[in-house]
Amino acid sequence: MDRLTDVAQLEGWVPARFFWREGKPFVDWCYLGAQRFEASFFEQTMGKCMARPFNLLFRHQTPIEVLEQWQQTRPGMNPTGFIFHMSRCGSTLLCQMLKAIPTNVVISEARPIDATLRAQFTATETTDDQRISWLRWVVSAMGQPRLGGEQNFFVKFDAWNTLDLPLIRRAFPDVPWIFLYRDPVEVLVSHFSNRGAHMIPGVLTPTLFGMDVQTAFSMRPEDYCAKVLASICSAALQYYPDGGRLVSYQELPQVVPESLLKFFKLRCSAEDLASVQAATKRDAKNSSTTFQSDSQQKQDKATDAIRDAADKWLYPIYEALEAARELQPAVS
Amino acid sequence: MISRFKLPFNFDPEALRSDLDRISPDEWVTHFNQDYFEGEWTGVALRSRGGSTRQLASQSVAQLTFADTPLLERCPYVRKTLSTFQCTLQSVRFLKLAAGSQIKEHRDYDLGFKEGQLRLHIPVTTNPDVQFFLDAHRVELRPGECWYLDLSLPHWVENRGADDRIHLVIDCELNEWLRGFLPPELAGDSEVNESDKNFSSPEELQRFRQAVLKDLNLQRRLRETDDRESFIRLLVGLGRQLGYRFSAADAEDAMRAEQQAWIERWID
Repeated sequence: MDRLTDVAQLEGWVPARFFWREGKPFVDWCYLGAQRFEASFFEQTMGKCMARPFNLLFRHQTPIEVLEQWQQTRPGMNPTGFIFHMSRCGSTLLCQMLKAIPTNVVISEARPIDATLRAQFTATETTDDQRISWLRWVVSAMGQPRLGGEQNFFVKFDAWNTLDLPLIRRAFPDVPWIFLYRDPVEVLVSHFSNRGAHMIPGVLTPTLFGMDVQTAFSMRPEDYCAKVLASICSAALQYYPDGGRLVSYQELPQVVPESLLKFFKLRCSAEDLASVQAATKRDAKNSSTTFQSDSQQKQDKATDAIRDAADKWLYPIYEALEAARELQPAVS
Repeated sequence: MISRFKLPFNFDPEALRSDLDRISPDEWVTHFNQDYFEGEWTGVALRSRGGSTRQLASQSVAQLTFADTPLLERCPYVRKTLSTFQCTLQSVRFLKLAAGSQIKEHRDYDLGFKEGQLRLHIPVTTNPDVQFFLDAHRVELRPGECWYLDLSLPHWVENRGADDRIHLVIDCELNEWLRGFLPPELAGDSEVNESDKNFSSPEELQRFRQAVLKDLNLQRRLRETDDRESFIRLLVGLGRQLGYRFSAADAEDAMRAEQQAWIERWID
């Protein structure tokens, strides 16, 4: 399918993946049907889809421009809010709470979204204007109503997408956003038990975080990880006055019902609020237990190398975030 | 050898029942195997050797050819049902085991799968108190489903319920189209399958995949099952029906390759 000849062709389909063919960006579409993005991450929903034999053999593969036609024929919901975060700081819990309201759609760390934002690393001639268009198109395709009755649409980005805030703001100047962060030692301890993609030089290019490849590989891993997190946090601190709000892990979970729902201009019924509260009773990654801060356990596990790296690269910026957060006016 | 298998067709039991209403009570004739049952076991033919509505048997009149009976004219949904089958039909009958009746244990040796024949059962009316045992296993058949049953194995039926049990029973000739819907153990039971293997054609499968992406109806049908084996049968069968010849092994290979590609999708 080079062009969309019939709107019905993509009804119920979702961009599962971006790929490059002969230097041109393509979309791999997967049939999702009337399904909610229930899982914690977009990739988990896609993984479930791919377990169905039909989806293995039948996927539309189209040039990226078909996304634009799709947006024109079937515009998705306008995003209600964006969630940025430093990783390992409670963003999954926050999304589960938003998702607890049945009319909210939450897309979490979708690879196709990240791929549009990082397209210039794959094809260096990609311009910012192209990335902005692609991002708008793919977000529109993700924000399609699938069940009927959906009202709000949230996108949680990958941690490193925070660095692209200026471009994302150009694409979506009116969408309010938050940046969630946590005590640096606790974040580092979590990564050192199971490192995220951005914490391994080479999985994501170190140039994304302002480091050259050689320096990156010669550094102690603790220092590399701390520097990556520092660059993410600095971006948030620099850009938050433009439509953003800083949120600390320590404020979870009550900050959601008490101020974030209002910040995102959600109108909630008493029932909605009860559902949001109930979601805190489930730990984001272990649904049988109530959410409890595990700061103390994380602090106890910190090695000297982690503490040194956090002190050197992260605490100054963390303290600046804390100071800025305390100066934020209450949400009215 | 598989003793029973549900084919991926579903018919509308309501519509079949409204066809039944067009048959008057005096048209039903008693089944010829009188030694096998107690109570009331009757039938009407919609297609039979010689074309008579009352001819339920095939063996005893082997000199006559199969022809539609006048009753088929009156039964539009049966006609529609039969049009699904892209194979030569032999006899087509409604068989009724009245409430309180039973068919004693017996085997039907004349149903020769190896001779290239296949008998299909489509239940029209039944009830939970029908007990059908095939090869000592209780088998439950629901209205509108379509079943292959190996009746050369010992089987018996007791209708202990208050309602009649009526099946549409279709005898047909095995061909490639039909084989496409059968599990490999069954489809592999004759030499025809040997030539099937020669039909392996990944290119044909590729073309069929492209055709499916343009056809929303085919997509809907293929999404009906998430079970890998029945999906492959459905895929091969639908392909055959539309003139795309590829084997179940081609489908297996393609699915494995896609799975691998999906796992490796981020490695560029």
